[in-house]
Amino acid sequence: MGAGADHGVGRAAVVMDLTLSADELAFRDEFRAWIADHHPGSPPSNVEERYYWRLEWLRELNRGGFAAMHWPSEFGGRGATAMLNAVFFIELARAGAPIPANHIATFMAGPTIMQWGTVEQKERYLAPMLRADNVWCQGFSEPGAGSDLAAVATFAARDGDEFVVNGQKVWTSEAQYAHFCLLVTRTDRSVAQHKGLTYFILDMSSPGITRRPLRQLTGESEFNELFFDNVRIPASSVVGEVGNGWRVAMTTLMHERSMIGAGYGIRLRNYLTVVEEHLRAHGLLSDPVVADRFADLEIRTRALELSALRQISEAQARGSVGSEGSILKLMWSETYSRLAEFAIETVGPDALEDGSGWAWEYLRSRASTIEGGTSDILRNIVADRILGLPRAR
Amino acid sequence: MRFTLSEEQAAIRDMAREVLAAESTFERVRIAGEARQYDSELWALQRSMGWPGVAVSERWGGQGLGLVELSVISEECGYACASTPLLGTILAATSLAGAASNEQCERYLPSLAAGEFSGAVALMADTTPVPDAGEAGLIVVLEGSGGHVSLQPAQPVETIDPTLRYGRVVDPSAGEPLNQSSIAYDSALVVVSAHQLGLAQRALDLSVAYTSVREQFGVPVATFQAVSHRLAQAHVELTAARSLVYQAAWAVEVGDSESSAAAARAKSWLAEASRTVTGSAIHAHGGIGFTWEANLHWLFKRASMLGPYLGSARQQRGRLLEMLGTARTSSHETDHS
Ligand SMILES: Cc1cc2nc3c(=O)[nH]c(=O)nc-3n(C[C@H](O)[C@H](O)[C@H](O)COP(=O)(O)OP(=O)(O)OC[C@H]3O[C@@H](n4cnc5c(N)ncnc54)[C@H](O)[C@@H]3O)c2cc1C
Repeated sequence: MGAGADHGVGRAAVVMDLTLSADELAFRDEFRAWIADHHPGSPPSNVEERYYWRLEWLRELNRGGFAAMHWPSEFGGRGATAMLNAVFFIELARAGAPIPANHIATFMAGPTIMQWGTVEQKERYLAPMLRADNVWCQGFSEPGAGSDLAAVATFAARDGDEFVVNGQKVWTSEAQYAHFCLLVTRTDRSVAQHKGLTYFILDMSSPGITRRPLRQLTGESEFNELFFDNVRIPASSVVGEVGNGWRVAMTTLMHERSMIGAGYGIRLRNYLTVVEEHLRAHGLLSDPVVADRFADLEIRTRALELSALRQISEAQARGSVGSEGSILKLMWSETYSRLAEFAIETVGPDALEDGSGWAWEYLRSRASTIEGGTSDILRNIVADRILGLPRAR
Repeated sequence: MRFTLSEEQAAIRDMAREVLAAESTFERVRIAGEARQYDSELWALQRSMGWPGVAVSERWGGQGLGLVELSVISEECGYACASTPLLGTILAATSLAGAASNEQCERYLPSLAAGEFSGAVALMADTTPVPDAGEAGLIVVLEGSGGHVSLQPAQPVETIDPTLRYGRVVDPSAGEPLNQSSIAYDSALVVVSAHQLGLAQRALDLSVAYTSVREQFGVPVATFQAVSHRLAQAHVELTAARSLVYQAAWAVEVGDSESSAAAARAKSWLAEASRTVTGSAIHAHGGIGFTWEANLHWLFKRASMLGPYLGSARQQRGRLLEMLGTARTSSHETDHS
């Protein structure tokens, strides 16, 4: 039997195969060579400069034809399989190149508009996203509606062929740069909470919008508060019909979690490698406790990568994205936080000095179990939708 | 890349699940466990279906399938907590296929593949009770630089898991020497991990079913997050487990450069997850869970016995780290050359 010489006998054509297919290899080589020539270098330390640097990276990727692997070609994408998209993320990580900015557009707004948007919306918004001509943010959370998104109170009142919006959003990432916002509002207070929601594309240059950056515990501002004072939105900017906002929002969230799981999950190995190099360089792995914990983190990281690839394969075989993104997002945030804690403990006192990269990761990792749906909410989703347990409230 | 079971592999899984659901009920497991005797009827059935030889080359009378298919069967036997010497026998057959000479294969594999005698695999210098060694006809002892195959009887050991006949090898260096082979050990790790995955998956499925109907405070207990989140977390851990086990099965089968690391990861993860998840299942059932009749203990006990077998989680992590270190050094060397 040996190493498999006899194993291949009589197999059907479609077998488990964890190597890249010819197409995937060809793409990998093409993209790897392209990155080598177009690598954006190392990131600026200022958060705003870093954002624009990553936005420029999106433009560069778009010129190379890599900005939207997973979009159909009719919208300027590459029409690639989810697996090719994973190869894209793997190669970005391998090269130490950043995930491009405007991911709310390319991974969330784009697919949502493709699924629910009108022909005019598709024509108007999709292509400019890839050129980074328009930047997007996600206006879902409110002070009174976080985990309980259906409790959104920001109200959009119909006025002829316009809606007039009043209310407040919070934790809106990248709103300081955004031209458009994916806005979930209430349009009907008389029906069950999640039936009275409507999803809009909001032009951020409309009069009546106030943006206020919020300072995060890292000291930086990624997210913002948004205030709406009689902001007018044309009815043509409704996505997926009045009263259907909940379902449209779920589409966005599903794509968000899959993207975090695949994109960031695959990337976690880079951080692990940095930690490993430090441990080896300082002989810290000779401590058996440190060694054991590191090996455990290595296994968690590999399990996350492999689970991302397995879920992509399964979704591809099934032809749809499901709730499984929640599992990846859970694994990612847990592994990321543990790794950051481990790094702080083992690197030693210097790690917590202001401005240290270790400290930044450590602090930033605190957001991972909250953003994109908290771990508790994701466990609810696993329990309800995947295990089919009776619903908790 | 395609990381899913093929249609054929899924069909093998469904068939095994169906057969075992009918022929390895907990009632049958309990009878076997209480008598401390294998379920001979089930063993005869498994033999008639060719399971001991699933991954043995057709040349030696097997079905010539690979480690992924073998893992599927092993997982399903864990899922059913089957009380037969199949685990030890497929471990022995796989190890021999990896480490024995042609002549040794010819001598032993046909009988193992037919289940004429059962087998077991032990590690040199390891006193962990070996599943299925208690009554095994053939014992393979693996060690770093090779190992031995012998027909010596092992010393039976009564353990907390009476559904398998455990034993300790009396004279590990007795018998004929085997070739050096990491494939033998890696394959064995994968097959055991797959079995542990099955044990844990069963425990989770039972917990989902029970907590969905058991009511307290006027509602199903699964509506309490302390309950549902524990099960959700178990599902996340088993998702990781499944990815690790089947990647390792594939990697060892094709001789991928990562195969030994993959097998070590799978065994490390399953040694812990299998015990945790089967243990949580007992908790999720409340008092009933602690009874003999609830049957959860069979899963928990076997998971506990297989945890340290062939190297504990901690030992696997140690091995993994060494392999990563070596991989790192050799990739640096090639970079510089
Ligand atoms: C860095 C960052 C970026 C973000 N970016 C955006 C963005 O761009 N757009 C946007 O719309 N939002 C964004 N968010 C908001 C994020 O989605 C919310 O913070 C999150 O959904 C939680 O809502 P909340 O903050 O109101 O917390 P709450 O919902 O008040 O939760 C408080 C605690 O209660 C727990 N909890 C709540 N409900 C339940 C339940 N049913 N079961 C069990 N536990 C529960 C939570 O897990 C949490 O621990 C961002 C958040 C962060 C940290």
